[in-house]
Amino acid sequence: MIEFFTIPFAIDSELNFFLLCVILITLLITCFKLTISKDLLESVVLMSVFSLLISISYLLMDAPDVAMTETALGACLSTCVLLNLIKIFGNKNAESPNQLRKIWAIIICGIFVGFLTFASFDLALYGEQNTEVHQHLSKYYLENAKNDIGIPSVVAAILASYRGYDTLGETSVILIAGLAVILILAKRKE
Amino acid sequence: MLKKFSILKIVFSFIIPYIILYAIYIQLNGEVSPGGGFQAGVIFATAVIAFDLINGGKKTHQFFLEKALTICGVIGVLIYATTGIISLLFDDNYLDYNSIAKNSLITDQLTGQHVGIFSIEIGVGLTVASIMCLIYLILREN
Repeated sequence: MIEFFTIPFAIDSELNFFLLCVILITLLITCFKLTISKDLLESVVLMSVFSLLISISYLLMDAPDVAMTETALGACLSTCVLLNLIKIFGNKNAESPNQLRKIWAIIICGIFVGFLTFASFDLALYGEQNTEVHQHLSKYYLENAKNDIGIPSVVAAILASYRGYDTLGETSVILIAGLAVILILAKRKE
Repeated sequence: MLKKFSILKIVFSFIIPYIILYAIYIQLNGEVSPGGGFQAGVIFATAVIAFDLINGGKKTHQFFLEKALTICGVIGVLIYATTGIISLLFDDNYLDYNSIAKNSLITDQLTGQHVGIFSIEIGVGLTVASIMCLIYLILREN
């Protein structure tokens, strides 16, 4: 039980650990409020708050790329898109399901959370370098990126050079998504 | 949307140029600092959304036409794909940036990697920025 309360060595200061704990508690409160809120507008704002908080935690855990993406995409862009959707469809409340279905949903969610918690005991500790996953590819990238590619940012080296095909696929997926949105939703001039 | 709120309007119009500047900074320094094409594109899209919020639909529609945005997105993917084809022409693998330096006057091997990564980041940034703006603007039009 003591293991839970010792600071992982990858988090460099006690202040960061304290901030992460505060963010975790705030996230839990936000999630709880999100599940019981009945107003769509309130839900959208709470989801934006969730994204902003979790992006701060990414920043504290040394992942500025992900933090940037999460702030811009999750907190700003998707919130604005959802607000537009509310404007289109109106701020209607869904009919609340009957009592029996709620109880079943609570039971199923509880079992799921239990399984996830049980599985999380097998996860590697945060920042541990000697685990199985970090022995093969990531070790190679970290050691050779400077000599092979010659740029300081290892993330950019992996994304653009080692894994160039994947990034090409991702970019085309974004383009295809945009084209699909045009096909479905754009107003036709008649 | 926010036409009545003059404080928000002044603050937004002050901050939008800096957001665009930050997007350009992240785009150009993707190899050195965190970030890259995707992040730059998304941040640029947030600047466009802020512009749309304070100025209303008509003014945004003047500068960001749907057709032009679609063409920009396609051009971005084309930049990426053509960068890969260059190495194919010199009898190397697809997307092998080393052949850019091998078959040109550049003597340093790693400069080819720099040029390749820089150009594909520009392609990614262009695609992401235009498609994100497009999705937002189309949903707002309806």
